[in-house]
Amino acid sequence: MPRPRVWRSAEGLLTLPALLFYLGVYLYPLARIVGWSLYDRGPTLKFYRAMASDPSLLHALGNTLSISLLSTALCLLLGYPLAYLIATAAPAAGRVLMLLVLVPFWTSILVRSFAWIVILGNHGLVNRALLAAGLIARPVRLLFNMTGVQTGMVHVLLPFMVLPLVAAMRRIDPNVLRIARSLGAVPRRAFLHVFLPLSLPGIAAGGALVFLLAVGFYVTPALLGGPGQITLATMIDMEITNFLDWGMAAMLGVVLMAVAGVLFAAFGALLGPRLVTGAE
Amino acid sequence: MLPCRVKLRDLQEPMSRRSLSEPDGRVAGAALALRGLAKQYAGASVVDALDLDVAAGEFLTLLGPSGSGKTTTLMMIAGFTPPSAGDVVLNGRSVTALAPERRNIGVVFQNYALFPHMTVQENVAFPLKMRNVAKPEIARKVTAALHLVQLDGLGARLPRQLSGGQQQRVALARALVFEPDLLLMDEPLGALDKNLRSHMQFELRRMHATLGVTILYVTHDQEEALAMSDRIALMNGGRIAQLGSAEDLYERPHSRFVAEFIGETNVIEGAVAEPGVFAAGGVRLALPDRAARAGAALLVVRPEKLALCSPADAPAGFAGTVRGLVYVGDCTRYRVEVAGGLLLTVQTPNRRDGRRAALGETVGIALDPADARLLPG
Amino acid sequence: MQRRDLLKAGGAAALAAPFLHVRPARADKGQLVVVSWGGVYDEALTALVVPEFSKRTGWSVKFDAPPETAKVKAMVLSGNIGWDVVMTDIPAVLALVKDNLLEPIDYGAVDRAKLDRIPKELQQPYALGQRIYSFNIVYNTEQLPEAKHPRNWAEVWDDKAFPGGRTFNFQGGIEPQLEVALLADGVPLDKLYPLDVERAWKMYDRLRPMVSKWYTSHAQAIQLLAAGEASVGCTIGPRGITARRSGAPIGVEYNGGKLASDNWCLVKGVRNKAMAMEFVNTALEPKLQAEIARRVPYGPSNGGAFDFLSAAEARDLNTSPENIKEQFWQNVVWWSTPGPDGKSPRVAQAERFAKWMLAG
Repeated sequence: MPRPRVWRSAEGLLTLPALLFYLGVYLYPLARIVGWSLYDRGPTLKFYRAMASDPSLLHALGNTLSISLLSTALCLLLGYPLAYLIATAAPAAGRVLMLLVLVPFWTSILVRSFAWIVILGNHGLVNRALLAAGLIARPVRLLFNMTGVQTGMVHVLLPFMVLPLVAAMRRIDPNVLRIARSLGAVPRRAFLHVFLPLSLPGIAAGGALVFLLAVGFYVTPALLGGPGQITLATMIDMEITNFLDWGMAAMLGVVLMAVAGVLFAAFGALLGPRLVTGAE
Repeated sequence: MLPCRVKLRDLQEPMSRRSLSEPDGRVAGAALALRGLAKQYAGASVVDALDLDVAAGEFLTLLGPSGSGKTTTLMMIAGFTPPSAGDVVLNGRSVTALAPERRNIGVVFQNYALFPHMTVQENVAFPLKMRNVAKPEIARKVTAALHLVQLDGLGARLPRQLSGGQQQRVALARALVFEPDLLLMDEPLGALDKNLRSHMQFELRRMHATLGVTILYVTHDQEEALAMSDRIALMNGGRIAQLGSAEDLYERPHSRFVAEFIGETNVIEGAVAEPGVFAAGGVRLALPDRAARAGAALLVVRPEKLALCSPADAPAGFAGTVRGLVYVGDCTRYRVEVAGGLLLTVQTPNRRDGRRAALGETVGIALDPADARLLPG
Repeated sequence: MQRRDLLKAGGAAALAAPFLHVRPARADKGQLVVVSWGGVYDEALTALVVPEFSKRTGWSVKFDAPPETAKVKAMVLSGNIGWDVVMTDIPAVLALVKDNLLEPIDYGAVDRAKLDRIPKELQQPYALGQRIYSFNIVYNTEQLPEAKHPRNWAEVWDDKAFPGGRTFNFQGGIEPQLEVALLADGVPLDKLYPLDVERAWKMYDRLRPMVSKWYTSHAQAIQLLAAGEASVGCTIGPRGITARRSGAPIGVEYNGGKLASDNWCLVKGVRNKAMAMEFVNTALEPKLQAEIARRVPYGPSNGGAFDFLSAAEARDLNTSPENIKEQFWQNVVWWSTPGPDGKSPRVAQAERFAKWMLAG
């Protein structure tokens, strides 16, 4: 009986270390976590029942998703024109712009989050400038609410949106855009009918990356958010540090992963057919 | 090799010209004029004050080596590149300041530039959609255009599901479906293999004859240019080296560049020493044109205009030794070393009654001075 | 108390944790692994306690940080005990005891004279107090000058007389400050326990609109207070003292403070219990504790330490005879006694805190 080709070829064996690595550091711990969420002195669904019956946990899940979706949308809104600029700029200018986009990577997430307190605080740079300009009479609350969280998160996540977008945009044949114009499309319609759909793979990749990273964000919402921005990651931390309840924490982790996975799949299904055609 | 072949355009059957939508034979094309059109990049002149008139319905080819400015010229006409100076005039109206979408010019690129996310049908419908044509009208015109390029029934395919030739036809249909005043084609057959290429050359000529659209065709392939064009503008260094019919360029080149770029040729560097006589080394040739100016000159003669003869019958100096010989099927090409070490290429048809020569044999070269062309040196 | 500072997650702790092998002449008989919070306190232990311990026993000490309960659990469950002595707070101790992850303290191994000067609250079956931290009124001296700063919790709850945002803890494993809420409502220090939980939550409802940020770590609380994002808050007093000494506009009011302890514990299955207890016994030396408190302003658990400290030095310490009178000990028994639903107030109130916060 012929064995699968991959095991006969030496090339197939080359993937073995990577496979074992993922098995060991990813799949195995993941399986353990799923196991903990289903076990308490015997198999149980009690942790999942607790999730369904606890409005505060659902609330935190809702916060997580709304923060993540908003971050993704804001990153797209800010990142798309930026990526367009980089992708269409002269190579030298494009490299400089790209470097600027990557600047946030040069500092730690914690330092960045603390820096925002100096900038956005009641006595921070922004409020002082606005007060001095006479635009506001009292400091505006820019921190410890959704504004603060989104500022911090978009700052951190923007490069993850811009990089795939630039890659996708650079793959678009400039002749295709020229043709669209010569065929009668004004710039706006050429963008909507040709450039935008052809950049969809970048939007999908960037969007998925930013969303999945945002879902797991813990430090930024905790430091820059208020009670309205308590995320599931925060609740997981509380289950572990306050209650030593690994079952609950594992369950929350599994739920977070599942919800993110479902959203991700739905997103993919929505964009799928276009992506298949646009990815050429 | 060219002269050994039958020119494709000679096979063209005369066809009635009619537009895609107007079956009454009306000529759809517009006249194009370039007035002092120029483009400089970083101080370097790519296109240099180009003047060119293309008649309505004409098939004109911009031919030239790469870097001669032909593609830049096309990009300026289409409106993709703003000219540094000059004017693009379409049907007597300057379009230089118009955006590409307002020029009503169809463009076909070598890489087809089809919209990869749209079906064939959507690709062809695009220009009509942009012009807000009613849906049934779009459907009708798209069907007609696909029929014209013989892609009936493939409308639902995506571009990547088509062969290169089919993609080229889609690009063509898309560029023609909105009845442009002018069709610009930039090396449109460059990516096709040889057989498909000559087939598409026929197709293009057929469609041109059918539709009567004005075509400005860019290629670096002289054979293609000769085969297809009404007229050829041979470009060099951002200027038009010579404008004329294929025969003009081949038979009556104005410069050494033209003579050497089109087909194969013998160029003999010498001088007009006394009225009506060209001399180069041991070679002397009486010219029919006695008015030729004295001074350095080039004598240009195509290999097929030369024939082998006995050394005694040859003009002065036109006898020598066969140094090379290539049998090419329909003809044979000889390299003959004549007086002063000059090597001349002679091409003779392989007829039974034709004169042959062997390697190392001493032969004469027969030449009718009317077939030679004297150019200033 | 879980001072699971977010800063530590950033790796600061890893840099600060001294993985030092102290090797005096005889320190080659064995090595004890002591787990603490890292930073300056571990440096003080290394400089002061370890040489004395090594001199007595010939053992060396290796430090690790931080004392995460989850890691203790993982060690005991796997049977791979890498830690001997752990210094941690009462909530962590209770969580560890509940899961049977600790070894009982051997009080026979501690000098009688020391135990006599250590408050009874700090002598628990599984935990013996080492340093005292406290939740105190910590304020910004630019917004609320020394002369007119809030002197009790009722004044902290009064944002008319004492304007500016408040900052209180949430997350980071800290329970809600129900005691100080009751003090703010006029409950006397000695009548706090058992806590009137409903009354305390009503005070929290009043507090909510005044809070500009629910902090997640004490480092963050100090930063918010120093930057003026909050004018007053409830956080660790000794940390406020440290910040004040480094020049931050911070003041600390000890009145009404909640005292709590970091304690020595022994990990279940400790490799050498006698040696671990000897380390604890050394760390409780009054002279050494005084020396440590000079460096790091946490209250020494051994009252005898104040025999070696000046009056000025004592004023900054929460366990000085003057300060300790105005404060109360967190009642660990009340917080850990399960209610009718089987949940301890610590768990129940933490859950309620999360729900209360999410509903706000």
